[in-house]
Amino acid sequence: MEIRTILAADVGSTTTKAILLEYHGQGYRLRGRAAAPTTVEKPFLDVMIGLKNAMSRLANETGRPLLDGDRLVVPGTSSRGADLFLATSSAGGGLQMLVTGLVRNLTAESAQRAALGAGAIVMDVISMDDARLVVERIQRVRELRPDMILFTGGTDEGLPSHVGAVAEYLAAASPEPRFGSGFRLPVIYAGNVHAREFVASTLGDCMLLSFVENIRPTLEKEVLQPAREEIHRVFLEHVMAQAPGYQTLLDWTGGHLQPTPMAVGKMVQQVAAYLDTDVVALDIGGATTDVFSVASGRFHRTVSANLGMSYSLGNVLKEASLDRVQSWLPFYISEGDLRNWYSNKVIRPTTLPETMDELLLEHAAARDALRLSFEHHNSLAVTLKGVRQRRTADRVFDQTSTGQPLVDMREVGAVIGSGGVLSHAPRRAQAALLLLDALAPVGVCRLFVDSVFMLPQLGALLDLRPKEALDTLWQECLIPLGTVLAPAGTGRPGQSIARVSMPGQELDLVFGQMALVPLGPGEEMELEVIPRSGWDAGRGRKQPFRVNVSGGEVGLILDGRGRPLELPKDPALRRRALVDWWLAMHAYPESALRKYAGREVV
Amino acid sequence: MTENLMVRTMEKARVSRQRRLPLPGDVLVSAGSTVEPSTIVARTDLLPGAPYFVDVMRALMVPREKAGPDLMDLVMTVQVGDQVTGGDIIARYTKGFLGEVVVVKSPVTGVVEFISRLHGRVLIREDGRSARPVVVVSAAKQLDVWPRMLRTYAHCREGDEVKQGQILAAAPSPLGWDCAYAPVSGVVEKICTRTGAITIVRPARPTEVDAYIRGEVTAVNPGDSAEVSTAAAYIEGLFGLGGEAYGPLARVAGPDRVLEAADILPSHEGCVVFGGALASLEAMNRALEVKATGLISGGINHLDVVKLLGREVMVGLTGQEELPLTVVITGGFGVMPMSQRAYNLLCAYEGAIASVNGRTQIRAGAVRPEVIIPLGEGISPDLPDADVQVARAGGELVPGAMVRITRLTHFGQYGRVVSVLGSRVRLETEISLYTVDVELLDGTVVTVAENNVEVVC
Repeated sequence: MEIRTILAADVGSTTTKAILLEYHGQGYRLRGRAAAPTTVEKPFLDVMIGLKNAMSRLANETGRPLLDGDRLVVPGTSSRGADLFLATSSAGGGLQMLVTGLVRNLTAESAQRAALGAGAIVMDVISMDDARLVVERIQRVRELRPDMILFTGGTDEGLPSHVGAVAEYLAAASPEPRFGSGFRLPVIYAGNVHAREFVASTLGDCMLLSFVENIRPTLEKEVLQPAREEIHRVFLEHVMAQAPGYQTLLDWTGGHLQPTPMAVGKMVQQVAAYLDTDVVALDIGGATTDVFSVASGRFHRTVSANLGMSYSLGNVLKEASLDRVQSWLPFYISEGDLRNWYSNKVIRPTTLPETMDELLLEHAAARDALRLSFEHHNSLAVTLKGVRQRRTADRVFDQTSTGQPLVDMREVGAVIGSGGVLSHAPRRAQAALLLLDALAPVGVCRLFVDSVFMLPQLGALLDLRPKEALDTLWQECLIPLGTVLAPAGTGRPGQSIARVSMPGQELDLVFGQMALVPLGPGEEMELEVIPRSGWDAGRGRKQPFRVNVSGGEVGLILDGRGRPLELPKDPALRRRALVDWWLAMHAYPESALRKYAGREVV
Repeated sequence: MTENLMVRTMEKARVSRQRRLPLPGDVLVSAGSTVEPSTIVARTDLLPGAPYFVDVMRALMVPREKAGPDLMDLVMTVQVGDQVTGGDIIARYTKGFLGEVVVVKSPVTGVVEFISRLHGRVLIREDGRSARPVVVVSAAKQLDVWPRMLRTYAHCREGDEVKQGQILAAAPSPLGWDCAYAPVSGVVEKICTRTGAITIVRPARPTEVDAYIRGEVTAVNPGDSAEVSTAAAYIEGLFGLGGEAYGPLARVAGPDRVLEAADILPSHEGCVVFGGALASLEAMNRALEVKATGLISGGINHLDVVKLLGREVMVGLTGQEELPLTVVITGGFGVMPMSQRAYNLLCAYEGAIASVNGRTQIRAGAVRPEVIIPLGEGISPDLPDADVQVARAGGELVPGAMVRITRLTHFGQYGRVVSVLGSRVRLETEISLYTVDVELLDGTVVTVAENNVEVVC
């Protein structure tokens, strides 16, 4: 059947978003978007109420009725309904999982990566080397009420008895599932294959047990995909079927329902495959920030549950320190005023910035929330720990330990930003600066921003209509901001760090400065970069290269601030530097920036 | 339009509070009885049941290599969920050529909670009703050390307060360290170098639950809880500190000036004081000094909260502070004049007993601080329930509505909506937002984003 209209919904913790895509000969175009509060919690306890509200609003906006009473019009006609309906969900805190392993840094960490990659929030990690007492562990498992448990532990060569001990803890705790009564909690066993029999005899009666390949068959090998696929199957067949109203939603979608982060993760992997480079994507919300990465072909996702722009703002300040956040402001604000401002944002999370000072305060916090989330991601997306390493004599002075971050910013060719503070920034250059300041990419890197947070819906569409999903991704969803060239190194202000040649222009990139070269969306340009001594523009120290760069709504950004990115320590110099960078980037209204530059520094 | 929940002020509402014991005990009131805030409605003398691990394989002296699930199945005489009394046999093993019978007895009365067939250990959860006030830990035996050397290995001294799970003593073993843990919280009474035992005395304090509000007992769950209900004036705050408290209301300042230390007098001891657009640090310290039980004000400085508590505080989750003064803030952070309606309501009941709670939880299932002023009237079924959160409908932001501005410019100021623009307006930040024109109390008309005003009701 020809699909001309696609209705896609994302049921978030606070808001249910619906979009309508229509076929226009060349692909699908966004016809409209609407949102309504999610109704999965009390007093409504039915996700369908919020979804129908969002659909009604979408129908009003587009002039195309989608519902016939309580029934969704699928397939649609030329003037009403939609030909395909699909949905993603992170409501009620999303998919909440408990993971267990034998050793925190080995199997438990692999289990955590598998669960996070499948779009889950990891509520706790239980391992045999846990510092908590056995009683405390059992008590904790009993209190948690997860949606499911990913039970791992041991290599296939190891002793099964230790894994059996973890099974005993789980049986003793006998945790209740979050939704549904009289329903057995799903447990996915992905541990030592020789312990399966004991695990089945211990847990088989009280839990819904399924077996997949060992997540860590040997210390040197990590197999995450079977566990992730099983998580998705159990999520659809058991967990979602118990959540209030989700059975109807599953029926409406014909089973095309998946966890929001999983859908986003699929799209991020598609972007990496299409651009043939490592990719980092960040989605900053009010309470949490998700970070996705595809590095050397491996996909990872983490969620920083306490870093966000409203509810979690207090934690951002606590973790980043007030001084650090304050250093991103071009004006003086006392500690007391700063604390009051951010605290008011926490207790009134839906208020929006009206003045430049407020906008800059939000952006200052966003920089640190993104940076901390990325640091958290780098602490989990690491090379396997405990792996035996062979070194020859020539490596005696160059020994690296296991557990190194997988994401190397030199190899990252694209960064994607999503979430209100990035997608709805008044100028795209602001989003570009937030990503640059938080992630500090090195070398040549493209920047994108998700226009209206469509990635989840497109991720859901990907399974059914891959070509259409990708077309819509590039045409409607991802807005190219441009490309950044950022050499790594440190120097003195005013010192030339690289010679950059482009058609009809040749310039010196100077340390401590930023420059913007106009290069619109769809345009390309060949650059020749000759780094100065001691500087690395992505291909090694002092290694010249030629590269084709793509434009975007901001353009080609030449970032001469050096890496690691350090702000001047003197407050007056720092504020002046911020204003200079932002003026060069046309990031904020010039009159406002001039006002800050002329403001007396206290 | 934002879908915020309104900060509510209700002249008359039904308020019900569950008063629950943490452990089974006695409910001391009956349904229909009248209670004062200080009335003890429930009490328990029970101690929380402690978990006891019994190493069955060790007690049976079975070598590790012989121990395993099959042997455990063979020796155990109890199952998970079984009730046992102190001294009951929980495992029995016939060993050797002569058929010597070895038994393991339960050290306490309780329930078998967990049997590790692999590790040969049993967890017995002590029954709170039979919990002994004195607990003896055979530390030297557990560590396999000479009792006379126990003090060398002890990590505590007589008189120390220890928490459940804390290491009492530790000694090196071939595989690392063996530890003796405190099975209960209490005070170390004696470290005996003759028997090798450490004695812990549990604090024998009865747990009592008061009524918190003045009202009528509307439901009783014997042994567990009572529900107290009242017809009351109800004010919801935005941020608070400290737990439940009560006392007569005492006005100490007008609604729109900074509350100073001098405003609070020694006569305010035991009172819930109110007033002011900002509770200064000095005022809060003075309230603590004169032993006022509660303080209601319009605003507070976050830095003052940190200084008052001596640590960083997460704004989104409070109420557990061990502060003898409950603070309820109705406006927010900074100088925030109290809403005239809330202030007038408090003034109208000056001298009446008010119950206050500073507990705040911003995320999931938002909990806001509260002020409850029982009216001393019967509870009519027609009264609105104070706990039912009513989502604000967009239509309420209409010309004539009283609003409070909640963003930096004019933050905390009150005004009346003059007009609601149906289209977006581009602001200084270049963001386009729906806005409203608000006439402030001084007559100035300002344009504010719809998201940044809240209807005051």
